[in-house]
Amino acid sequence: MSEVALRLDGLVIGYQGRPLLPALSAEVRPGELWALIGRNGSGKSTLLRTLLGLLAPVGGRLSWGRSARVAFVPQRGDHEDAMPARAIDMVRSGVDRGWSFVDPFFVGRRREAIRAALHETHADALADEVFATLSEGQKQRVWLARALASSPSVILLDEPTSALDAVAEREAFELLDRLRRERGLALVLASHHMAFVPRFATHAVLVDRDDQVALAGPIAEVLGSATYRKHYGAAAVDEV
Amino acid sequence: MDSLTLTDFYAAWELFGTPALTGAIIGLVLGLLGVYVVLRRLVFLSAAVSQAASLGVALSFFAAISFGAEHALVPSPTVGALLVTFIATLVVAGRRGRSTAWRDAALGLVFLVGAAGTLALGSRIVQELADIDSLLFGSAVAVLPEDFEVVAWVFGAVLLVHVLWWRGFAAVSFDLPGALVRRLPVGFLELLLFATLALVISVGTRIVGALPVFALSVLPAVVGARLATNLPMALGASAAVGAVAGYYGYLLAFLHDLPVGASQTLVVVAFVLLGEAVRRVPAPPLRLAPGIPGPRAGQVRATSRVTARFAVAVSAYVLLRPVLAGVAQVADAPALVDPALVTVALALGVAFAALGAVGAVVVLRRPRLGLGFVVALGWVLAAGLLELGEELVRPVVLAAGLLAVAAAFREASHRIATAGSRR
Repeated sequence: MSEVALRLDGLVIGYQGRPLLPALSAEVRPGELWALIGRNGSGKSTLLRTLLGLLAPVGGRLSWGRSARVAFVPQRGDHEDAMPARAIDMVRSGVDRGWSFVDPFFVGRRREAIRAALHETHADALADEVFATLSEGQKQRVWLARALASSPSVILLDEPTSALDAVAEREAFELLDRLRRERGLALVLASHHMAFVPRFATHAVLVDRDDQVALAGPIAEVLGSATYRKHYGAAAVDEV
Repeated sequence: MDSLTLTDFYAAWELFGTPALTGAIIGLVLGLLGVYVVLRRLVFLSAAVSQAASLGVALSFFAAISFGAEHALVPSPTVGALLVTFIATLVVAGRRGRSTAWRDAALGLVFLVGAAGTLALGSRIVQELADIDSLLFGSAVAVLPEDFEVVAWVFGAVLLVHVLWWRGFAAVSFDLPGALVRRLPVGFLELLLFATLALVISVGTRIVGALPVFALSVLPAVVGARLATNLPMALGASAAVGAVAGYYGYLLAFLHDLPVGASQTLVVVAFVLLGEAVRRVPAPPLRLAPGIPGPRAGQVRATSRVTARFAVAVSAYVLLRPVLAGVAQVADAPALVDPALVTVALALGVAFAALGAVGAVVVLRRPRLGLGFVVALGWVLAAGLLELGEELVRPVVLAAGLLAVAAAFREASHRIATAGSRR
């Protein structure tokens, strides 16, 4: 059995000590793609912010595996466009871990990893482009390259396909699926676009603040739940 | 009365050298840190910090009156200013992750508490009130040698930390979630960033005054961030603009009998205007003409990069030469401004710029790119003129030179660097 990358043990999320959802337990392992699904305002973002460390849990435990190396792919609009940067600069900026920023030559030594990450996400040609001028789809590829350049074992993704058209969204999911299979990455992805989640996710966490639901498990199990059928219908389930 | 010249300035270097170099050092470091101030939307930080420092000094005087100046718990005015300034910056830094409106409100809160608190305490420390202004809001006209030492040590240490650890500061400033998951010491870096900001703003304000500190902590960063293509370049350009503005502001104030703080502010404003002018130079996407063999394009690209960097280096050397003249005088190292060194640098600059222009036009078939090199060449020649006759240092020539530097910077750093990769 492979090592657990992320363990949620009765995790309760919320703000200022007030729980938002029931306690949630789950174990994320290498090679799994977990989708955090739910409607707008259901608690997905709060859960993701808690996983990122931006919010403290209200209760329970959240623990990363001992050898877990985590990276993050933000959603559109999370970049300050006034900050001057080319695509390659964005990728370089994601390489540091821990105290490596005190070593002036650390990024230089990661040159090959940076180049490989750009290549893997088909973003090589964008390297010298000004980041702010890229399309949303191109930006997502660069964000993903940035995450890969730090040689992660787990990647958290916040609505990575929200700005993409259907074709680009499918390509993005295919890329994530390939990375999951080939690199054995654990992926945790927040999304309210359900077009491709059922086909590519292996597991899901369904949250619904109104119905006080926090359900985690294999994708088929979650999509077969009453809460999922209530909000999304049965069509998507049949595709799995 | 005859107008003053550079010769007069250097003849009186013992008197004017210290404040001119102080302006350059403060401009350099504030310019560098200003990039974080501007891009994190904290432009009123220096105004708020100045008021907080004012409250700290007032509290210190009040405590001295109430408990006696010798009491162990009564801080000196400087320590009081630093303490309150630090707390104030924590209040602002603590707004992290909330909306811009909340952060603005925090800045407003710090400013108003500082201003109102100083006024309220003013009624209890009437005799000392006049001292607060002189303690807090220095004048760039005259800088005491001991103040210069403080600036050199404090700003030097801050500069070193920021040059070495800029990646950490950039990560917590522009990618907080990423920095958290990659386990960077986010709290430590945020605290250090704001502590160094508070330190340079409060010390800078005490020594050269509030106006130039406000200007130098905001405007050089505007130039750097809008002309550069990445953060290290923005930090470098902003620091260079700050240093030049700090020094030349003093020089122009001397030559034209202007108030120093206003002169430094106006020089950096001129940089902003020139930078905006340069940004409006049409910069169409650069694509290599068909049929150019890859290796040749690569060679030209490499030459272009070297040329561009050299042009910028020569420009920086010539612009900073008056500063170097001061350093040479203080350190007794005349080789720093040896005319032979200047001549060799200029000759190489001309050769490189000409090579770049020919390469851009003949090989890359990009006349506009060639024009960029011609501009760089023009600046190198202008620099030569400046060397031939220092009396030519007048605002028009200076402005033309700065425009050329900015143009060369933009052309060199962005369009040239992207030439090969867009094929």
